[in-house]
Amino acid sequence: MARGASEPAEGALPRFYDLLRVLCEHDVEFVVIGGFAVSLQGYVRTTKDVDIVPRTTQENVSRLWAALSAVDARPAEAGEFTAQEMPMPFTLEGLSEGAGNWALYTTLGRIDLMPYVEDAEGELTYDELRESAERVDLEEVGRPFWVASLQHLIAMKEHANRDQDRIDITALRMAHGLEAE
Amino acid sequence: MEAQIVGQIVALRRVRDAVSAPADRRRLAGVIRQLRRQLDVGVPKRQAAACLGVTVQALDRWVGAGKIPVVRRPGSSRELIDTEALLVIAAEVARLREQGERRALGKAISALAEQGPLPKRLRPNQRAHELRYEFLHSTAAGRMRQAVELSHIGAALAANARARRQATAGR
Repeated sequence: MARGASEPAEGALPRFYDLLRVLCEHDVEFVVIGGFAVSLQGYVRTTKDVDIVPRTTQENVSRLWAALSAVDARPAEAGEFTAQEMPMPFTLEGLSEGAGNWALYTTLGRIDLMPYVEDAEGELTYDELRESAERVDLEEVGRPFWVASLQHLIAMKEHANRDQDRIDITALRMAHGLEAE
Repeated sequence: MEAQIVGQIVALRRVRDAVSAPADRRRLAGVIRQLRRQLDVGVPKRQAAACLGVTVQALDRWVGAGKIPVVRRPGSSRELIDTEALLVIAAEVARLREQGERRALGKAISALAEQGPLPKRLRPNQRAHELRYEFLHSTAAGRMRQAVELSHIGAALAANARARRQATAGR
């Protein structure tokens, strides 16, 4: 992977559909979480990246690495992730360990790889998320992909408990008719 | 019924925290998640009071003081105790009672307020009926497109602001 790759040019718009398409074209198995999942599940809002939980089998991680190489991925600032979440170097071997989360810049915009996510009860695995995930078909992406269920999305956000998460939880519940003003 | 489930979740979480084998922890987590799914976004006050071992009047005083978050179901004016908050408070109350503390609810709320794990109630800018209407009159694909457009606008605005800051700093 090109380590000196540059992030999208100043002012360039992220190409989220293309980013998802690259993952799908490389047959990467993943579930979308984060801002796009919130929008897909009912509360449209802005987001600065695509957040995914990839399946952590060796075959899938190799496909993921190939997809990331195709878009010149490189780690962004540790910023929002704790040291515990980023214990591995960003290499195929590091990805294969499946123990870390990475915020990556690519030529198509930012992507957060999050093989490790939690709710109040502990780790939520790809398989658990995928079991109840919802399929999304978008012309712009060209292939179907999966988005975390409302229930899992809210459970992860309850656990993360940042201000934006609290707003997302209330908005999603209101959109789904589960909560009033 | 809800009071019983809350009690079971609180007890199982404590067991889970004491278990060290990852596989056993995962199994327990699965059971707790199943129980959690049986609870709605809020628990009726009578049930919540039973979980906490206080009267509804005592619970209402804490709600009135804004210390315990409440939610409402659409079409109902009845306040329910926020389930997530109730689980956190009930765990702390159980812990304090085991230590022989009296007035455990008040002490639990003070401790949790200090440590910060009580969920805050933050609202989106839109009203509930607007969000509901938009959800019912849109598709997942349509919402994704809207989110991409909005995010592009956000990115463009951020880039403009950055450029202005740089220009100002360069003067």
